[in-house]
Amino acid sequence: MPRDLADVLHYFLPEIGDAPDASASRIAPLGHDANNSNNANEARSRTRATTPAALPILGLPIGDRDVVRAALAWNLAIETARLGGSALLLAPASDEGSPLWPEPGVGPLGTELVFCPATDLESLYRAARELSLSRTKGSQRGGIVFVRIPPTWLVTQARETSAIDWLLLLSSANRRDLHEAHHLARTVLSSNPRVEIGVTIHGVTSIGEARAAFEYLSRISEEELGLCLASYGLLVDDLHVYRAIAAQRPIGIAHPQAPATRALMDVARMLSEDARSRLHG
Amino acid sequence: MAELEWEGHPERPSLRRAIRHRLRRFDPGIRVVAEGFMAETSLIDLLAVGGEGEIVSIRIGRDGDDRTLLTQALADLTWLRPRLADFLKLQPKLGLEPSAAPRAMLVCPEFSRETQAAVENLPPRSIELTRYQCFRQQGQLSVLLETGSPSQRPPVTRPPVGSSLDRTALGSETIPPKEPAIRGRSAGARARRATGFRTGLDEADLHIEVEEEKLLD
Repeated sequence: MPRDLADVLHYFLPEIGDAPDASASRIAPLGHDANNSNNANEARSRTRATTPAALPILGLPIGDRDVVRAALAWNLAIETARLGGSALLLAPASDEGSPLWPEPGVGPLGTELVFCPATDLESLYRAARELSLSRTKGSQRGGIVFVRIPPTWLVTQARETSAIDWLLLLSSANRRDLHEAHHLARTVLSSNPRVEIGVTIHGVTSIGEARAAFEYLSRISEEELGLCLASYGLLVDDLHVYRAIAAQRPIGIAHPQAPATRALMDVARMLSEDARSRLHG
Repeated sequence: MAELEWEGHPERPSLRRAIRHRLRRFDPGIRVVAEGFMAETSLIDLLAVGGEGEIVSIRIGRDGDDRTLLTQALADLTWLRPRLADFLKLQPKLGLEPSAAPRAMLVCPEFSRETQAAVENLPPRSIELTRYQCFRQQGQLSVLLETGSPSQRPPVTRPPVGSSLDRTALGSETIPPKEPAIRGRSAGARARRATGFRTGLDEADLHIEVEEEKLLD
């Protein structure tokens, strides 16, 4: 049967969900149980295909003073929301008032920053799971809960890392940073062999630079740890990133045509695709 | 210790998602761009872009479906080849390389000797055979993937559906995520694995013209 462009165009539209749910922007309180009796009746009346599962939780090791990685995480959340998904960023309450984050609450494109009173990895992930479940109903188009993990917790609370399913390491292309990422991956993997670890190379000026850095990290991870790292692209070294960080403004909104925005959108797309796989796997 | 339980016949959407998920580790060079993509007369389960920018049709079947899948995959190659320009026009950022020939991957629990022999007549890598087995881990469906070529795959004895097994008892050749996918794959696949870096960008995306810079500022 002959086909033309119009026949295939719709296949490239987002795969999950129909029209955005009007209730998606309504924020349920943290701890709200999506499986209470009323909701359960409603859920049973839906088909399995349209019932959203809990949002995947993506851990991001970000140091207490690491403003750059925090800004990249925040902007990735915003770009995830731009793709139609629910995007939440959870951080320990000790971050409140620090220069890492903007004001908590609902921000650009419905992206939400939430602080929780977690003091260890276990309570942080418990809060992340609650948040994930509480936002499930309004997440017809999927989404991601981004969790800021203090890297020291990964080292000192290695036994608690079993809660982590999916971890994203943001590493620059320099060797010292790559080795730090490798060390972190080894630490997590030693106590949680089923964790899936991805890497985004940031602060690069070319694709080749990012590719070489990723391949180096991937090779040593595979040789030394038997770990297959997933690649989540690159984020560029762009003046607009630093301007946006200084102003605590979303890069994608302040500079929608900037290379930094294109790269953020690309990484967010890959994360969203994988998040969808997790929702329906 | 993680308990795994073999799963016999999961629903097709779940199976498709589980395979899509596992492919990220089995062949990190592959990036799935669409699910349930209508080809000539039937749906391609997963449409992907390979590590060299080639479009990849991934067909998933159950026991005994391998012959049908092979026919469909061959038809997919014929159907996809003249449409590369369309894809490039629709989604220039897919990372497609117009000169890269389409290829196909058949994912089935088993492949008959006839199917394997038939594939040997085709150009290398044009059609890859990949076997799968389903299991549940902590209630979540997952799959084991391994190359379907008889000369490369290790012997696998499939336990009864629903039986549980200790993850460590699987042995290094059949444990799902990391090592077996490397050991069980062809030299070509190894090469792709080494270039598992993914991006939908090209160099032009990373640079802005002076005029654009002025506008941004």
